[in-house]
Amino acid sequence: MKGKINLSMKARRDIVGYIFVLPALLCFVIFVLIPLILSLILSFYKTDMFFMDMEAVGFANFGRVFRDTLFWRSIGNILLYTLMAVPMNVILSLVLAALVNSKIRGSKVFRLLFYLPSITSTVAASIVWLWLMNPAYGLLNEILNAFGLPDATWLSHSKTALVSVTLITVWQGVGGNMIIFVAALQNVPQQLYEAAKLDGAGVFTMFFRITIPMLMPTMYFILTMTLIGAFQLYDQVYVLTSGGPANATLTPVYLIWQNSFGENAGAQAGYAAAQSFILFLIIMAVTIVIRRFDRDSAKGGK
Amino acid sequence: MKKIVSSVAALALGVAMIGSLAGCGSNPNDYSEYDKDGRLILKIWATDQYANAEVKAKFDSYLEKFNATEEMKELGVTLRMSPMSLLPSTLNTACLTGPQKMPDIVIWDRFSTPSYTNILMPLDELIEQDKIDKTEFLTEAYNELNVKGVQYGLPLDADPWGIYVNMDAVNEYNEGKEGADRIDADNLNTWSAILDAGEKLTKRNDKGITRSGLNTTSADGQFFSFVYTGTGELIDTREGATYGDTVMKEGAELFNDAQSLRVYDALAFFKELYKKDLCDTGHGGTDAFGNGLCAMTYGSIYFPQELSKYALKNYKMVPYPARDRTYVNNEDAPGEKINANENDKFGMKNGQVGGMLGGYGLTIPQPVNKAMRTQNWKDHVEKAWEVIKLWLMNDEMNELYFTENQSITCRTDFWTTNEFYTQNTGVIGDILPYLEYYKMRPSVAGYELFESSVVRSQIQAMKEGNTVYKTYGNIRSSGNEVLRQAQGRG
Amino acid sequence: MKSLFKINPKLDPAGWDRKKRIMREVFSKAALYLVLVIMAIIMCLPFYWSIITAIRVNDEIYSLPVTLFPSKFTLEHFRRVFNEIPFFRMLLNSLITTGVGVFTNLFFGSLAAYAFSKIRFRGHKIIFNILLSSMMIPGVITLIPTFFVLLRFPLAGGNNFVGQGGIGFYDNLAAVILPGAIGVYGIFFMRQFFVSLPDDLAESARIDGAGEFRIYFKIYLPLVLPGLLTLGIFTFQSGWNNFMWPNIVLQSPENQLLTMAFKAFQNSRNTDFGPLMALSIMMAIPVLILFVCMQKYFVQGVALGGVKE
Repeated sequence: MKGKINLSMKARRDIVGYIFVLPALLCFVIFVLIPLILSLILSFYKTDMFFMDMEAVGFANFGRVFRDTLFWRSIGNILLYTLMAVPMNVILSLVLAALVNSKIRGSKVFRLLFYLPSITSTVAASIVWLWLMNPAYGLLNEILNAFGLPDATWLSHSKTALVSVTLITVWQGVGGNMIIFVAALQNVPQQLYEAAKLDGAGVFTMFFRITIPMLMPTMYFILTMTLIGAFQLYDQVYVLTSGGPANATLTPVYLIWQNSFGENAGAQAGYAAAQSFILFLIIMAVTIVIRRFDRDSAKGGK
Repeated sequence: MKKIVSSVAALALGVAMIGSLAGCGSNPNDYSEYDKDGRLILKIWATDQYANAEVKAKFDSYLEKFNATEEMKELGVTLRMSPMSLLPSTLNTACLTGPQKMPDIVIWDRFSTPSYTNILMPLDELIEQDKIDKTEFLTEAYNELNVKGVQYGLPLDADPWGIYVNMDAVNEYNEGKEGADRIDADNLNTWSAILDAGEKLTKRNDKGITRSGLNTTSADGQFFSFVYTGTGELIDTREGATYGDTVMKEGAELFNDAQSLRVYDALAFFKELYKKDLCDTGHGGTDAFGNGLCAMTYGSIYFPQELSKYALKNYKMVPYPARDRTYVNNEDAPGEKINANENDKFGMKNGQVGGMLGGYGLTIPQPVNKAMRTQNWKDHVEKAWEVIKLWLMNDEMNELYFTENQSITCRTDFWTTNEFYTQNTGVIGDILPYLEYYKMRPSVAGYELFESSVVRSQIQAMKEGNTVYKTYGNIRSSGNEVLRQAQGRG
Repeated sequence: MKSLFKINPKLDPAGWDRKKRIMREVFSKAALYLVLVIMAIIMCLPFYWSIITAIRVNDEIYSLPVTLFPSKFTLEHFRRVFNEIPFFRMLLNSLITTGVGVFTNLFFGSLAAYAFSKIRFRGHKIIFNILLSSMMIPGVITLIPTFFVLLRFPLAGGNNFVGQGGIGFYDNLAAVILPGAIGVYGIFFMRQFFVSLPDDLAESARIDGAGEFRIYFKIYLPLVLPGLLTLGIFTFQSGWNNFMWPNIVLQSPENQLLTMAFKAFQNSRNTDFGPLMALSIMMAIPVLILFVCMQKYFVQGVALGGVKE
């Protein structure tokens, strides 16, 4: 008797559980899973985005990706961008977090000021930067001149465009990561610092011996998320450079968007799908490498 | 049970909220909308050029007058225009979706026609049925809407691009100078003359350029005009690919035809322009020209509309100059002697200067899926065609259009008969005598991409140091790749 | 701990040494402030410049040398924004898409998170891990098919049961809302909060005969309020900034969002920085207000939910 009731109660709880997750699951199936499968199908066909006039081409789309110099140019760009932007972002946000977390008057105000760029719209912020970096009337060149430096070319030269885009995305990205670091810092037990102080440790020693190790899990979280985000750079490129000059800021997502819906659109849907899968594999590979480091360091730490 | 009910209720609430946004009750079989007078609303789409407030205001005020005419009232239609960014691709999406979200008429950038023939309705039957005489139009503009013998629209305006010269700057320079030292603004008709004027108009101090002589920041987009006035052709329209071998090989095979040599020469001229360093990177915009920071720049016939808010009032427009000598420098091409053909006529005949012709046409889009071409849609097409005929073929209406919008109509007869043209003292008057030498862009699918992403970026790379030889090789190899893909040749 | 603190001052051997220490403290504090202020100036420079540009006259925007302060004050650029684009219509559309998105994400996201952490139905681990792993998928992969799904959505926009005949959610605000209506990130985020709360609360309520939804809504939800608010800010931000997707699925002038407003002043031929700056300032204001109001909960929320793996 008792067992029977328990069973039915368990069953009922299961049902309630399923109902609770049903909306989320539906959303996932309709807007992630089904599109993912459709995209995989697309990548083996030559067709438009409405699956009309489908012509099976086997792995030809993937073959084309490997021969597509423009695509690999964009991958090269995004790798370079990631190498610049991610470390800059993580280090700067950590430093800022440590600074605003110190118990001084006005730290909350500074926290807000540093977070301010993150809450502005990417498009709006990019347009402001476009103006700041304007070669003739831009404020940045004026500031450089004030320090006796010559004008910089910023977004208008292929050698400086990607660096300029990096500066802009870091400016906008550090605030969000800083808040996460601040939150993590507040979870570090104060006793550790007090004990270290008693041992006569300095600020820097404490930072490198206590803060950094305690923040390692957060660091890897931020690193992974920033990395995945960096690989999908699009909005800024759209507004600032349209991939130019001389394809210096062309990113994979921008290229795929162009093939799907942009000026290059047409019967390129299958090819765009193939490109996006290759991008996915690259992102996954990089993420797995990071995770491995994460595990290794966790083991080594213990 | 209560908990299940309540959670289901919450779920239903959420779904209902979203569902209410879905715009229920629209009948897909009749998507026509009418204004308060019962006139059918026809939607016009235009490029983002029309998103500019001044341009839009001007066009809207024209539409208002056009809509108010007796002829339009008789037709029972009224027109509404909305600017679209990324027009061809948004239209592509809409035409795949079906007639509900499609415009009825598109102010179509003519040079995109070859890449989008699937979404534009062939008009040959209608043209024949109404006996439209194509010789009334500027030939190049009319033909730009023709792909493989099918006519997809009628030309609306001729938009020749040219070089804008700040005459205040020229006069200031000429003061107290004699003979060859002067800038002869009436004869800026050769590549050498433009280069020379650019050098003379550039002002420098120890920090750099204070006034740019000739805008070279956006010159990459103007490259094709120089190719044309150098009588070269980049693309063989019969093959849909660049002239010469599609694969760049060692040595002379790159330049095995006269066309290629001329294109090579145009590139060499651009290299020369960049070497002379005539332009500060910041002086590429409209504001730099308007504020006198750049003495010569490139612009279309509509450029004065943007310039109206700036101080500069004394300027003129000249067509792209003709090639007068070779600029090939053999240092660029190691192990090979490149000679621009000495027997070549060096460009157009004296005074025959021109360039690339831009401009719009009026087209009617069609749903890609034949099943979606409903009777309702056909009714719209019928009205749209009547509107296009009225707009372009009715003399009064056409005059209303070009006077209100300050544009050059493609109906060539007006140029000699209408005083808007014969008495014009502005840039339209400047450029009209040369219009017959302007050429449309090559009618090849994928051309816009070839121009915007391949040639433009290669010329940018050349500006930053690549050799002419390498630039041309790259334009050919990646250009042909782009063209091949766009034409579905694998 | 207290005793340690008490003996701490006694460690100071001499008075001048203490003075030196205080000096050093003052000095390091000053240095800290200096660094903070410099950083703050760098971070806020774009805001300053956009405000300055937005309120100065056009002649001054495009004049050299560049000046740091406007000599004349004008609201012309703001006026142009209101006159030349349907600003309030766009604002409303942005608020609707963002608002509905925040609601669905918070409600359904936390509901699912609650189920994953407190009901622990059969298979909850597998399902959760599947959801979690989907976070790595770049959005661009599903770009084309998601468009297709929205267009062929059964019974929407004149479609029949199999999604034929109409235009689905094309050119409909729902096309912007639906794909992000219940994000996996939100579920993951909220689950962290529920996991940190004890199970006993639910157990005792269940014994009292309370329904599961009631337990979720009345007992647990108030406890995770900081998390909800934080997630709310994140969702609002991403909805507010949504750019690529609306540009694809929306088309009519009456369906435009604020992020799409910029093109009225920036096209292939001309860029009008005055109104653009005015527009970007007006776009930042709602998010700014939201953030300042909720800042108190924000760090707390991130601390609890953001980062634990």
